[in-house]
Amino acid sequence: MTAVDLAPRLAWSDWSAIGVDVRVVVTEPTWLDGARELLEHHLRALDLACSRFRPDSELVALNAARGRTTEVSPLLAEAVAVALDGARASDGDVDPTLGSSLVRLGYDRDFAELPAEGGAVQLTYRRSSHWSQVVLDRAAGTVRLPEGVQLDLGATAKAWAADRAADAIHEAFGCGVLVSLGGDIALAGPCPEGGWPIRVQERPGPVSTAPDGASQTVALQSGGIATSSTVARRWRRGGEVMHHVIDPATGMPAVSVWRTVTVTAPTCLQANVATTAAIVRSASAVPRLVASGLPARLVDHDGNLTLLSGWPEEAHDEHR
Amino acid sequence: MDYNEARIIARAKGRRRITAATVAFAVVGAAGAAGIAYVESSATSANATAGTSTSTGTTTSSDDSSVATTSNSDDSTSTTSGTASTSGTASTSGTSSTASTPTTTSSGAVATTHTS
Repeated sequence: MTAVDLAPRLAWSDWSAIGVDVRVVVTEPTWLDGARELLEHHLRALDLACSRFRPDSELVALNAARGRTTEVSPLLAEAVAVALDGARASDGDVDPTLGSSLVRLGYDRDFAELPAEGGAVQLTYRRSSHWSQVVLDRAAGTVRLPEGVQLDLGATAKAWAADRAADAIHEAFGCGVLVSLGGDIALAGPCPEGGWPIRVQERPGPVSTAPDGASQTVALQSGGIATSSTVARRWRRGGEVMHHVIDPATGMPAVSVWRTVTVTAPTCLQANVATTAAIVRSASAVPRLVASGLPARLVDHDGNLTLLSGWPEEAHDEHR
Repeated sequence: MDYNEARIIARAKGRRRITAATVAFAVVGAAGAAGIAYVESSATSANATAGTSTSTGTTTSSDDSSVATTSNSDDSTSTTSGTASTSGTASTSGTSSTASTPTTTSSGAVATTHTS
């Protein structure tokens, strides 16, 4: 669906790709078609390089390499580098080498195709800082994974792609742009007067409908914003609730005092690493977030809010 | 920016005939918009497949509207070499190197952030 209006000079387009809802918004309607085409181009390349679910992707081939050094495209090499940077920046709390755990927990296909229920899973997990054992040779264009390790780039690739695409669209057309890949949002270029109004919510859903659960709308002028939550993207195996934020210490879905964390940062990638790490770190996330200076909104399981580093109070109770 | 991205941009900017030179200038124009004062047009080499038509030289443009002044018959049969300079005027204000702090707003949202 493509629409033009809502606010003066803003135009947007929505579609689905890489297993998520995609939205691009531009400040100059003239460039909407070009912006969408450019974003689609980026997403096609990303999917072919980084998808864990399509059999012809480079990542599937890399994960099947059983410890062998594998040639990769510059795009996948960059995506792996970004993921390893995220692991390093988070002291391993955002770990791209948890692909095998996700598969064993049942997350082995696009989430929309995942059976909601399934039998019990048996998981043997040994943590050995796998991410630091990934060998990326950018000059040679190769990657070697420890045997038995599979990469999952879900915690970084979408956010990184949103940043790249937003920058590319702004550079190409000169307009302001918002790119949302499944709720990972990157901004580039001039913003609308008052900033980009963005609704923070706990579950995926279109902006045109009232959110299910707590929400708050904030204005953001630049950078990126991301949200991680344990109340969405859930499934059951053997009666146990699973979710997609995995604790590298256990190989299991993270047990956190927070059900949802939202962060703004200079880039969407930084924001997404911060939110994922915060879920994993649970209560100890607060001092780390404060030290980072990144504005953050954390929601505990009773719906209580913790607002950090200038995150605004809600103007009124917005569907808490 | 790769060749296909440049083609998309050139087409979006209304170039009906997408030639090697068009692509080269699209890349240069994009670089100008990004605040890069001078670039060597590397995209031309990326597109320099075996060709039958060659244009060379140095071209200076104040904006990418000069794309239209360079024409090749077909990008499958043309190569372009040389350098181009540009003084792009597109504003990059608002491009983020730092995050803005979110503020309260009563405006209707244009996007939602949620777990992905």
